[in-house]
Amino acid sequence: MTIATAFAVLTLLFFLVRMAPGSPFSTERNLGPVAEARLRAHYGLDQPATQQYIRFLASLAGFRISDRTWRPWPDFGQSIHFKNRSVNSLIVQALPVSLVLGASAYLLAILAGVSTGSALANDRHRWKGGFVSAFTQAGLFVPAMVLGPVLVLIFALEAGWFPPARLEWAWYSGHWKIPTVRSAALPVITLAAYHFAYITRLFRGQLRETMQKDFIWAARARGLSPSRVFRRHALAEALVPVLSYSGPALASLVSGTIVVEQMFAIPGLGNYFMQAAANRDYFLLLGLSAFAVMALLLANLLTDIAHALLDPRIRDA
Amino acid sequence: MFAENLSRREFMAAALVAGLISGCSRRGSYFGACRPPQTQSLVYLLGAEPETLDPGLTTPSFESFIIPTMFEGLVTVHPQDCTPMAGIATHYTESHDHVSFAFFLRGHPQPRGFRLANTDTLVAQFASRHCQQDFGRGRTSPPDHIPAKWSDGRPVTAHDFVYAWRRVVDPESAAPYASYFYYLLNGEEIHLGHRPVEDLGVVAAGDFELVVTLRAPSPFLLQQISHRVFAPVPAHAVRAARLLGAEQRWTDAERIIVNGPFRLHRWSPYDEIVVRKNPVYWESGLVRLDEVRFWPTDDGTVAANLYKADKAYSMPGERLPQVFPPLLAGMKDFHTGPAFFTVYHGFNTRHPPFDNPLVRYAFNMALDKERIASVLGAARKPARNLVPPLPWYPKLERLEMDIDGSRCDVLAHSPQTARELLAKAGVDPRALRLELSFSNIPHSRLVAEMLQHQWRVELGAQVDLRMLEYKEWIETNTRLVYRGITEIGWWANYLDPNTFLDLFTAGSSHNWTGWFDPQFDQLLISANAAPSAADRTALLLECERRLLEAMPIIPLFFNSWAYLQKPFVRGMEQNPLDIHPFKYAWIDPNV
Repeated sequence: MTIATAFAVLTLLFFLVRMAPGSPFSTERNLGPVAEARLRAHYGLDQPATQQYIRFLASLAGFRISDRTWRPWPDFGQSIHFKNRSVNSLIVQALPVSLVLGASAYLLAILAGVSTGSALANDRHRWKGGFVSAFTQAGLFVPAMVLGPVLVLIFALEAGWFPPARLEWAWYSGHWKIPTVRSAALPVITLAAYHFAYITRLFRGQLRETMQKDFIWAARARGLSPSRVFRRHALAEALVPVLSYSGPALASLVSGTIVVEQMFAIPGLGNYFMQAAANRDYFLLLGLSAFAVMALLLANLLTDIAHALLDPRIRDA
Repeated sequence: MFAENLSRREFMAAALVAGLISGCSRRGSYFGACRPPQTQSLVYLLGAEPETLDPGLTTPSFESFIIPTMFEGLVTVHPQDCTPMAGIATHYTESHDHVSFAFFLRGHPQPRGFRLANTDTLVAQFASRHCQQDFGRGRTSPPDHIPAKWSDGRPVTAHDFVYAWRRVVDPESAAPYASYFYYLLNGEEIHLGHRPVEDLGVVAAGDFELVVTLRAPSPFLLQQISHRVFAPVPAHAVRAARLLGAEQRWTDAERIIVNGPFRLHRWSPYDEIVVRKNPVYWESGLVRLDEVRFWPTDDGTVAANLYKADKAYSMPGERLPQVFPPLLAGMKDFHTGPAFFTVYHGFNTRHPPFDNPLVRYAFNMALDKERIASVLGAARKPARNLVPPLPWYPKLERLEMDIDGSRCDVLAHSPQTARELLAKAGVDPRALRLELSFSNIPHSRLVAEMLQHQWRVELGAQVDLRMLEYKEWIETNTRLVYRGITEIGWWANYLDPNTFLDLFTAGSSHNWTGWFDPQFDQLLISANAAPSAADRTALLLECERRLLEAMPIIPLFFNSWAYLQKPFVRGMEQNPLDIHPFKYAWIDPNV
């Protein structure tokens, strides 16, 4: 079902990007009819749409029709905007940046969200609950495009603790780069804020419900300590909805976040996505979309596996 | 009105920045910290990621700041007044009919003709106070008989220019700036596929003499060839990359061969482009910067933040969002200056009601351009004519037309006359539904809303605003399918009225109005073939007058540059083309 949905999305996208007004070769400097025709032929854009579509499907499976070669990974072709760069090479270049940032934000969100959620679930002070509830509400409803500039204003421009934008590299080798904690702090917090708030609320609610279940009372009746009850019995069940949420969240984080990457001038996949759309770079746009869809499929698969590990009912089913 | 017209994103930025600026700075202070770095490393903010570093395939973008640091053409530009200066050529001769030029390159044993200005000139100009900065720093220009070299040690020869120019005009290359070579003999025919590239009007008369033949006289040729697209490329490096099946990979950091003051060290897309001093550059002794780091930042607010946090030191003239200039006015490191750049709006003259010149006059006369320029601020000036002010070119301030027996200055702001003209044209503006198209670039919405407001108040016209994504806006304009009016602008590449007037010739791909006039075309040709400068000026003025009589456009304002630059950045002066030869720049640690 998921694969059929992904196929439908990519098919729709393939035709939608070609229907968008403007062409990849529209610039204020007219290329001239001969040069434009040659470019169209070079990229295969002079062929009928159905042929282009078949070529696209073949490229997803690693086939390159032009020279009848096959590779065990998708071949998204050449970027139109970035001359003589393959889409694959651009993804390989930008992915590590988005991956490191996205994974860091995800880890931060899940660790902070689960910790805060569990602390609140056991807390009986109503004012603390109210305060954190308001805080997480704010996390849900304040968009990144507001939170990011506010953080920059306070912590970068006023306090001077962090750079206002751009990543500084602590280590890099080839395409793999690790940013410094200082330069990555504000974008990671901005990225994580929404997910932290959501996970906190989700986990807190589920944990409260779990703590009222019979098997928890049975564990307590056996004389187990509260912390042991929490770790051995409640945590696994309360994490199930968090895991369901985490799969798509992780996929969206690592496949590029346009707003945050633009706001902090980060050379990740989101930046490429935005430029590909603006420049009508069909191949880059479709390649990035296909990559995002694959990331989502993989994340869902991992989520299902994690579900099975955590919940014996699913495993047995 | 100012706040009402801001986009949501701009408003948010304005609110944040206003708080910050008002809280920590005062008129006469600096925007952010000003600590000079200990190294000669200049961080320069760009507006966007470049598409290519290949001079032949360059696009109309921020590549204009990077490519000239690595590739030098026959001539370069003066850092302050943008006049041509010696690059790879030291001398040139010109035929009597102004269609044939011979350029003598560095290494020629006996160069002839006019000597181009060089570092010696800059030193003399600083001594005579013509230059505000000491660009030459007391150095003398290297001898002309020593050849310039590529970074791999090979000499830069006339053959490199022939190869590079033919490559641009070859339709196979699909070079965006190929039309610049239409001024050369057979350039247009070759680009349209009607002739072989060997027929281009450029030949090498030996290793160090380049002969250029033009299609028609072009007195602005020297200025025009300072553009990066006329730079040579190393044929051997391009061919080697082509053999590997990826011609454009010759500009990769590990393969690139340059002839300019800097060479590429690293290009990390959307992160930074680092160029470092080229030790074999012919004037490397003048270059003080060890490296320039270009940071592409699409968002102007991010650029301002990086500048404020002392991470970056300078930026192009059109980098700051609209909200910043009013807030930064008066600060020592905020600069504004006139740009050779006119913002105008075009009418679709093929469709009613703008097929009628009286309606076009009326829509022009209804606008209070002083008000528009003052709202936009940052030293922008209202425009009555198309060509921005030049010291030698008279400004067309009035244009008296005889309309039904009465005289009328169609360049003036006169809403009452505008209403009368509409009545004479038999047009009831209240019955019209017009459309104003503009692209999603900064300032455009604000300008469009002001026009919409003024036309509604003064004429009663209902104008719908249509913001188009950039590619769609280009497509709409080039295919002439917009209904009513569209926003256009022209950022000139050289300081000559021809660059603006040429836009409206029949063959121009930037004539987005549907208007053309064979007599206008002929006048422009005659102007460029005029025997004297005075005659040429008079004919160019006549040409502009003829254009404004037809009025396919509304000149709106002369744009300005507004930018931030740290006081310790020296050797980079404001100029009307926003061209900055980084070879003169340095960081003064004592500021």
